Parts: sequence; C-alpha cells; structure tokens
Amino acid sequence: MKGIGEMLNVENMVVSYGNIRAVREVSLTVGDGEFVVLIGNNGAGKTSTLKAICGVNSPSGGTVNLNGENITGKPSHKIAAKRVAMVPEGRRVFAGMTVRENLDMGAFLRRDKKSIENDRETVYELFPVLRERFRQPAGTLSGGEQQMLAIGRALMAQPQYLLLDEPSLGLAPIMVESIFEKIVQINRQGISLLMVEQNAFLALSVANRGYVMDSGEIVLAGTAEELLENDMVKRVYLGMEEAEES
Amino acid sequence: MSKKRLTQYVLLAVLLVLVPQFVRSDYALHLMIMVAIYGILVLGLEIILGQTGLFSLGHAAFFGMGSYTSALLVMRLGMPIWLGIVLAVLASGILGFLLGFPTLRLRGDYLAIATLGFGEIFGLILVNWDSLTHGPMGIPGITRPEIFGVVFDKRMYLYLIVLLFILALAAAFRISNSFLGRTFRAIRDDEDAAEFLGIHISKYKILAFIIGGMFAGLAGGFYAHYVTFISPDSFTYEDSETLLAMVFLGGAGTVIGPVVGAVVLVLLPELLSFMVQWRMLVVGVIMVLVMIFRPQGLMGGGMKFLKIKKKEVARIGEKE
Repeated sequence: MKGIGEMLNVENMVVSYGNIRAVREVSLTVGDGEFVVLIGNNGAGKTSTLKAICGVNSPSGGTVNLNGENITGKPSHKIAAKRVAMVPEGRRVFAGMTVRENLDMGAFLRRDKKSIENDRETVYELFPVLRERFRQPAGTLSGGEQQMLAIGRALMAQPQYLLLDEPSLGLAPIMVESIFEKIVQINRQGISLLMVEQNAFLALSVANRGYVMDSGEIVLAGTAEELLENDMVKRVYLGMEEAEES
Repeated sequence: MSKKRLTQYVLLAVLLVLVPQFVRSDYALHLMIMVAIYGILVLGLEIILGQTGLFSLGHAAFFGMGSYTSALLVMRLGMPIWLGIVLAVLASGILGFLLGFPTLRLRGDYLAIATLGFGEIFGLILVNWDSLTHGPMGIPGITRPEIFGVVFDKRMYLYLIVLLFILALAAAFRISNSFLGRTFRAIRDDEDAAEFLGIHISKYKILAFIIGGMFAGLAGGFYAHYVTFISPDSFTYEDSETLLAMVFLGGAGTVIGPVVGAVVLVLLPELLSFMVQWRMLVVGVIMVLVMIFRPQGLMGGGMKFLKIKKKEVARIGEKE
C-alpha cells in the first residue's frame, strides 16, 4: 500500500473566517510514517489549519494534497474515506453510546468484519481500560479515558494519517504522559501523525519534526531537536514549561 | 428465538386478542385506538428527534400527508383502502425527503424554526388548495374498511391498529438496534465527530426524516379511515407540539419511552375529565414536574446525555 512519495502536503493554505484570516499561506508536509507537531500559542491558527486539512472549513486559498491527490475543500466524510482520521479537540466521544459502540462507529466505512475485530483487539491492548469499560456509556468515562476512546475510535478507521488536536487539553499531567506514550506507540506502528499541541516541550520531545505557528503563519520549522535548541522557541514556548512541569 | 421468548409472545398475542373482547364501552375502545395511533406517530418522531437529535416541530404535517393521501386516493380514485394506506406511507416518506433536503445545514433551534414553518406551510396548502382538499371544510364521509362485506366496528379497528402498532414497534426496535440506529445516535451525540468517521451526515439526516415521516404516514392513513372526517384542523402545530411533549415526557432516545409518553398524554386528560376546564392545567403541571425531577423522561434515555453532556464531561475532567 505504501510507496515512496506518499505524503500529506499543504501548500500556501489560507483559511478565512469572514474578513479575518486565521491561517495565512501555511505550507507543511507530513511524510509517510512521520510524527509532526504544530506548536504555537492560543489563537495562532493551529486548529484552523487542522480543520481545513480534514475538510471542516474550506480553505480560501492554497491546496491540500494527499499522496499526490488534491483534496482541497472536500467534505470531511470524503476525506475520512481516504484514510485520514481526526481526533478533534475536547475528545468529542459519542456520550450516549457505549465504549464498544464508539469503537465500532470508528470502523463506519469498513465492511471487513474479521479485521475490524482484530483492530478492536489492538485498540483494547493499547488502552486496556477501554476493554474493562466496553459496556459503559462513553459519557461516564473520565477525561483521560475519553481521550483514549477518541484516539481508539480514530484508529478503528485504519488511518494512514492521524490528525490529533490538542490531545493533552484539560488532562492531568500524569494522564498526559501516558497518552503521549500511546501516541508514540501508534506512530511506531507506521501511522503518520500530525499533532497540534500547546504543550511545546512535551510535543517536541516525542515528535520527529515540528512547525511553530504564530498569528496564522508558520514562523519556524525544523526537526524536533533543532526546535528544542532554538532560542526563540526556548524563550517563547518553553519558558512557560518549567512552571508547568515540576 | 428461545422457547421462553416464544411463549411470551404467544401469551401476549392471546392477551391482545382477548382483551378487546371484554371491553364493552365504545369510549374505552376509542381511547385504546387513539393511544395506538399516537404510539405509531411518536415512534416516527422518536427516530427523527430521539435517535438522530433533529428537533422537529412539524411532525403533524407527515400525519396529515398520510391522512389526506389515503383519503383522497380511496375516495377519488376508488383505490382499495390497504393500497391507500401503503401509498400514504410512501407519500409521507417523500414529504420527509422534501423537508430534510432544504434544512440540511440547519442545526438545533434553527432547524426547529424551519420545521415549524414547514408544518405551517403544509397546513396552509391544505386550507388553500380547495379543488383537491376541500379547503377548511375538510373531507367528510371517508370510506370505512370492510372485511367479508362487514363494515369495521370499533373493535375491528382496534385489532387492525394494534397489529399496525406492533409492526411499527418492531420496526422501530429493529432500526434502533441496527447499524443505522447507531449511526443516527452518533450524529445526535456529535455531528462533527461523526463526519470525521466518514459518515455522510446529510444522507442520514434525510433518511431519518424519511423513515420518521413514513411512520406518521401509516398512522395518518389509518386515522383517516377511522375517524372518517379530516380537515386541516386535525394536523396543526398544536398536534406537533403534543407529539413532541410525548417524546420528551416518555424519554427521547429509548423507543419505548415515547410510547409511554403517548399513553400518558392520551389517557391523562381523559382520566381527569371530571375536572372539566382545570384538567389541562393539571396535565401542564405534571409535565413541568416530570421535566424538573426527571429531565430524561419517564423511561430515562439518551437525551440525558444530549442535554447535559458538556457539563458532565467538564465535571469529570475537573475531578481528575
């Protein structure tokens, strides 16, 4: 299935809300098997970028290419069919449905029952707590468990690219760490990741490459190591991190 | 099907056949028939509102579409009644499509307003399309069904509607437990997240309106041949509202809940009839109390999550 040159490629993308340009000519790529993070402050346009890639908002300029195919402005459900899965910000599980039903919904587009079952087992192995609670309504899970479920549900679609929007949002530090560990494991299984994250230090310590966004533009790009060493990143984005860690 | 299950069904069937034989009063038979009609109506609204979360204030239009379709086809074209009712179901389904299509992009309150307008438009058409519908005068003397040359009496009507109700109930359960029902509920719980999974939201929303409309069409087709007189007054906003109240009172998202709501809201005003003009006040107070102390409805249900989901998630998040 995989070939050389398979990548998610965003070129000069512009996203506007009325007169406000939230994303200005952003270009980024996620190569096959890569783990790329998009960091930046609140309101920098990270989430807008992610949403435009997966078709929630239609970009007003530029292109989104997936493995060489132009998918700019296609509706979300069509992009999902191209094996791009999204874990939206704030978890967004189907609260009235059980854990198991949530996972099964993740496989909505698939008809291969056997392999769906296998994948469900894989998700349960990755997040054992979901197996324990498989009959529980998703709305009764804790925040961290819901995040696991949201990620597990996205994995059920057998994605080639997984987009994660602020997976650490509103979670306790210990839970964030364990979720990030799992995310790294998912990447090791060969799924390419594009993750939006405010926690710059944590994000850069797990990713291969990163982009720094500010006021709708990408101001810096490089490998994770380079960015961690960069003075501007250190000052602006990691400065807060010392207080947060401890 | 297990043996135990089978005996339960047989017992139920025997009960359903025998009970009406012992009911002597026409009034009681009439009430039972009305409960079943409303039962089918709310099963349809449950699919639209309870399962898919589409706030529809125009359900009476589907009911009216079914009634008028069957009445006109049977009386003008001399069709057999069963065929009239089948076509009524189809016509209401088409009306569901016509409603679903233009309102796709609307959510929540906006959708409610749009469906309200839709119901009003339907009512206005009934009133003003004189040559077809007889306008506000309505259609009197609608053909009654016959069997072996015997015109239906109340007891036979009851048997027929109970049969239709059971079919509708089975269909509703079947849908709710199927892949389709789960997809509906996913859309209800989180439309955006559902779309990320590849669900074509518009398609399923229209489908919900079509299926819900078909249930109402069935109830409507029967209703026309039962009361034998229909007019635009029978299918107003007030009726839509009553149906909505039944779904919420019983518990949206539970299939059986709305049916319980229908039983309560059909029978309660009758049981309270000794209070004369006070009875609707009492019904109103009961509604308010139920909503305060049991917001998820008498039978509980998914709507609970729909309404307070955000708060609940935040609370669990904070605790952590």
